[in-house]
Amino acid sequence: MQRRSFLKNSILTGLGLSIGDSVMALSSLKASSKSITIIHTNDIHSRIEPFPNDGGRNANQGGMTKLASLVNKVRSDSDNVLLLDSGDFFQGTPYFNLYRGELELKLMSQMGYDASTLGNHEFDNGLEGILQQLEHAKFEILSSNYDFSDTILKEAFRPFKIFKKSGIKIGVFALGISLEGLVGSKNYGKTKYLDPVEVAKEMIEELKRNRCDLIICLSHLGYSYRSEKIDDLKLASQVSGIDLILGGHTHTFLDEPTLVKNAEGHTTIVNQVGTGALRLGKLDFEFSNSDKITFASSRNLTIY
Amino acid sequence: MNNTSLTKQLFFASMISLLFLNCSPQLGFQFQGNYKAADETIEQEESFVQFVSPYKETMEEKMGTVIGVSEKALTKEGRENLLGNFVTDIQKEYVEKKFGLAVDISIINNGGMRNELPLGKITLGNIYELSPFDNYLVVLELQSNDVIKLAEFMTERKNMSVSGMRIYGEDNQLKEFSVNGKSVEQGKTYLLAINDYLANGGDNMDFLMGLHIKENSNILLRDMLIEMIQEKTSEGKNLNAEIEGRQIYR
Repeated sequence: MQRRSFLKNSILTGLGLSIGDSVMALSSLKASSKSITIIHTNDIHSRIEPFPNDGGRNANQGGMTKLASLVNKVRSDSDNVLLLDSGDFFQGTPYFNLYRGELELKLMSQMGYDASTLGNHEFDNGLEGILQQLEHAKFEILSSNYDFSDTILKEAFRPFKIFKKSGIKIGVFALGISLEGLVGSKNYGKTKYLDPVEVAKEMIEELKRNRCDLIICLSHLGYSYRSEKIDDLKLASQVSGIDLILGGHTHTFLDEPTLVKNAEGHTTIVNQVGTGALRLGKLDFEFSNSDKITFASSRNLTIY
Repeated sequence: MNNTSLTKQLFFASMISLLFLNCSPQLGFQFQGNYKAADETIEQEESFVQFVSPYKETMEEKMGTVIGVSEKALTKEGRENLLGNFVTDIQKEYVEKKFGLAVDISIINNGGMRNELPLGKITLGNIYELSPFDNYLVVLELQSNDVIKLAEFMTERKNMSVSGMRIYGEDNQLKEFSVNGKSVEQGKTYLLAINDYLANGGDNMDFLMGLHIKENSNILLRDMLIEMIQEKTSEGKNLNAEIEGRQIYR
């Protein structure tokens, strides 16, 4: 408690005096804390190379070959980096039509992705099309609310994974969108869809039981719908305990993350970074000595 | 230290002080949603470019294969457009040949055609760009009232291309229409060639959902186009289409 009041005073003094002092107060705080950097993508859609140089608004921008440079750069600046994706890495360029996802998964593996999840387009070549490509993914593909137990993908995906960075435990789970009407029924077969809200509650309980310090949901539900359909904003308001929702599906270019404070007073950060690896989301979390989140900042980066 | 970073530092410090003043477990948060500020231009990672290279060569070789020749640029210009007429004609012809079904109407959403076809050589790549999505060919059975709904929808939205039907509308209202040159007959069943996206209610075509499916194929629209163009080429025919008054709106 003594330390806390000292910090409070020094920061207030710093503000009242000069910039130099406030920066010092800042750095003394930073030295005593741990930090985790989350970088993330969604809806890469087989954009292996930058968009073609055709005069379009995204010409020469985005793509996995450029994304790899930026990821390397972030890694060289930060120690505890977690690289995550929210699905729909498949479909969108002839690379997918020709190689059926092999190249996307190989490049994601080389970039050192820690985890991704299944978007609706991952089902474009059916369950068989997923199974055939899985060997190329040297990272975790998580799925918490598709029940594949009656299909060829039985036990292919874990519902959550806990990552440890400098003693901080980061629990990650993943929610997919309802496939009915969105994906041809023969492409998902006997896959059962479980209610995202109920599954999220179970996952949070499980991750808290495992003493996770940061809980992240990889979501392919979509950012926001006017209808009753579940989306990231509704999920954040209906469920307490998720610190960060990394979204996808709606290709939403958020200029900054959305903070959702629900009725129980819990705040969830929701972020989404468009499509085609045109942006890389970046969130830095600071943790206290007791591994509690004290501060988060965000800067989504453009890949141009 | 420039002004921007000064403001940021102040903001950062004040956020932290607020945090401690409140002694709240709630996290503080700071945004820097300024995209233009992101460092310098990012180059492609050389090792990745190298790794992709053999895949790219094979792909470009394949995509560069010429499968036909077009008499003119088939564009999406206009409510009735050359590309839409070309694709829906091919779709109608293909279903008739492949399934031996007498198709009355063939439609596609203009938004589903993602690129135009140039004058002259048509490559496999052109067709992949035109039809990148894995949409399947479907044949639906329509009753006369469903056909009227379809014509009304097309008049209102003006986002479809069609073969087999002619529509005349004024002020978003359907005034006249015919199927194969005839008025729609009560009690007659009509066959509609369409893709699974629209048949499942995509592009707000909810009224198509639940209609009887005559043929639920696993043939991709893209593969249909490739097969038909290759067939025409082998018969010495070029690709072509005309604007012929299929859809007139005033």
